[in-house]
Amino acid sequence: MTGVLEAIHRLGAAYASWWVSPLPRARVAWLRTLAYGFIFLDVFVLRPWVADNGSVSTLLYEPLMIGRFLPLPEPTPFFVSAVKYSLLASAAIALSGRLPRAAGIGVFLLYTEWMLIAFSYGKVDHDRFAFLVALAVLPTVGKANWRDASVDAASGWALRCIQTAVVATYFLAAFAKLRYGGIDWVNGATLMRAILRRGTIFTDPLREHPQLLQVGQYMIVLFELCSPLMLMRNKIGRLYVRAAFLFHAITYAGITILFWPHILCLFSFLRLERLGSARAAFMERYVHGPA
Amino acid sequence: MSQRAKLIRVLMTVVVGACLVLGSWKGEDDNFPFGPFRMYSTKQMLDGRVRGLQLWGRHPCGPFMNLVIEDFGLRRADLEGQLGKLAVEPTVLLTELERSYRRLHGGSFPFETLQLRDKIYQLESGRPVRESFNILGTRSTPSDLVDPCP
Repeated sequence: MTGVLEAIHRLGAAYASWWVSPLPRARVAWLRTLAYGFIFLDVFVLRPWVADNGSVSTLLYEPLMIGRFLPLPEPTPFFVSAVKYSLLASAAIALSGRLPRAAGIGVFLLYTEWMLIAFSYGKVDHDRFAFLVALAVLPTVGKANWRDASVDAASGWALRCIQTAVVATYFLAAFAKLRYGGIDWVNGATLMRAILRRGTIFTDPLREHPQLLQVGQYMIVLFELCSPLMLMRNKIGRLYVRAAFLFHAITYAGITILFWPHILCLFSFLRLERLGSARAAFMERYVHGPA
Repeated sequence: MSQRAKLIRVLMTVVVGACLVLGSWKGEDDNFPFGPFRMYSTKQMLDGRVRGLQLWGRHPCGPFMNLVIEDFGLRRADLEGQLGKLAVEPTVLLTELERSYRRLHGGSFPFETLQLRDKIYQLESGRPVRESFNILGTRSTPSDLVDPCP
């Protein structure tokens, strides 16, 4: 019994120390730039239709569980505009590096409401979880800048949360395929359906080769089930991260679907802190260099 | 970082992780952001039908055209959700689409007829062999409420 308790204690300590192992604060600063900058891209370019939801009849509005539990207003044109511009203002302040905690929390809350508006008309997108986690944890680190050479537990925890959320998205997506589709998901015509609905010049020829698509279906599930390998801090982990980027590039080329915010969170695996020293070297050489 | 701060953070990961696993096991889309990760999770039988919703419209002096659903304030996936799990009647949906189009375009509405269609691909052994249409609902707007021909 004592041995079991000791083993549990050691496991718990290992679990805890993994989550708070120090990682570079500069990487947090770069991720903040990407995440808060992405808010503008999302609102104006990728999903401008969210703003239009305010003009859709509230008869078609079916709030999600959070929207029914909390006293959130129905999306009228005024309310949606208020959320939109408050979100953009918070993101601009957060991008400037000022008030990282307050502005960051504002972005997290307002973007969550923005997503609740978007997903309360019949379709919930499932590529946002890691990004919401990023918006939730990035403010917890406090001030950070691109050239900060320090490593600390607060940055480590935030980055680990984002990385784990990315892996959980892949891994639990495989579980959802088996839950809703069963073995017919991999043995059926799932990718054929995607190609018929939104194929491109690259995938339309595959309509004549359903067996190839079935092989692709098995590979997708295998990729998702093995996704925890991304968390390994060695060559295998780095290779898997590259495979994830490649997977999304192929998906976009094939059916024009790109999980933008999820891909942004993939950058949490990359050594973005090196960009700070590269930028400094560039400025030194080309901007402030000898006359 | 203090031990207390570390403990709080680690406990949060346990709570969020548990919510996520529970949502994936028992939850539905309604439980966002802790619902199941259902992207492309539905199966498609090798000898089944693939459906794609389309919105068609006709100007007073033109043929039927396949319209851009986003011009009406929603996505195709939203319309499919409204007709599917939310079980909204097609004609009710078309009425609301006309209303939202007018709100988005300053009262203007150029379509005397709106129609929801299912484009259907019949599969045999996983290969598409036939295409067809199924009209789900049609709505006509009186000509005095429609923009004149350009």
